Amino acid sequence: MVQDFTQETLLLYAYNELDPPTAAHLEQRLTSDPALKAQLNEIRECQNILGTPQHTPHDTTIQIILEESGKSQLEIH
Amino acid sequence: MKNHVISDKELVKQYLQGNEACLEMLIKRHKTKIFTTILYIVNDHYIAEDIFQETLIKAIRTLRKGKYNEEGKFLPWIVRIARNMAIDHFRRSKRMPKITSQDGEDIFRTFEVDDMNREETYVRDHRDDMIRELINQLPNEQKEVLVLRHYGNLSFKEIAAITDVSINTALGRMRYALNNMRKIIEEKSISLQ
Repeated sequence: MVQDFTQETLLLYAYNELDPPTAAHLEQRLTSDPALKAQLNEIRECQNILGTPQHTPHDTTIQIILEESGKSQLEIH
Repeated sequence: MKNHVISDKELVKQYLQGNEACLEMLIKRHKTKIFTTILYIVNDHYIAEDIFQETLIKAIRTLRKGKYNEEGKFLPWIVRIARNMAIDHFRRSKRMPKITSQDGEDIFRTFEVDDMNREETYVRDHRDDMIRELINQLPNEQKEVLVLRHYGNLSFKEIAAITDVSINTALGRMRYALNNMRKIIEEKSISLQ
């Protein structure tokens, strides 16, 4: 029986959350189903547009957190 | 020789045994994902700094009280706290996030520019502003799933749990988010190259 793969399944696959047997089955299907492949490519394209996280907090913010941690450490002992 | 990467679980354990450097390592390891997630939810650099700080301080207190039992899933735990902090912030200020520009008024950016190629910085900032604007045009429920999954690295199952919906609903929201994002790009002929 030919299994239908939904966009939701493709999303799980694109974010590495699909269980290995289903992922293997999907990969096999992708080699012979251009429409499905095109749908996956659209998801990948969106992932590329969104990019990777790149914003970082200011060093002062981190310093305040570490100082707060140091203080709470002292309170314990 | 194999590189040994200390797991989050081990860092948390050593931190609780008094090794303060382990907290710094945890923050360094995850700060970009946590901060970007907060920034894309609240859409304001200054508020994001505050929420990042409040989130980590709350996490420290919870750890100290021995109430952390996330089975080594440190990042999703922190992102969940951050998301709740962001919601609390909007409840307190009684407003929803709006789009704010990241012009040169941002003191943090001004500091960074000194060390970077100005043209590269402009292109990066411009692209980032466009993406933030794009994300902020999505309905809140779709935006939340997209940000938590793509930037916060939460699984769809974890997102479903914290937003109190089924995993199929979370996946459906993500599907709509990406489809809407593509529609907006096409309709407005936005170039993100």
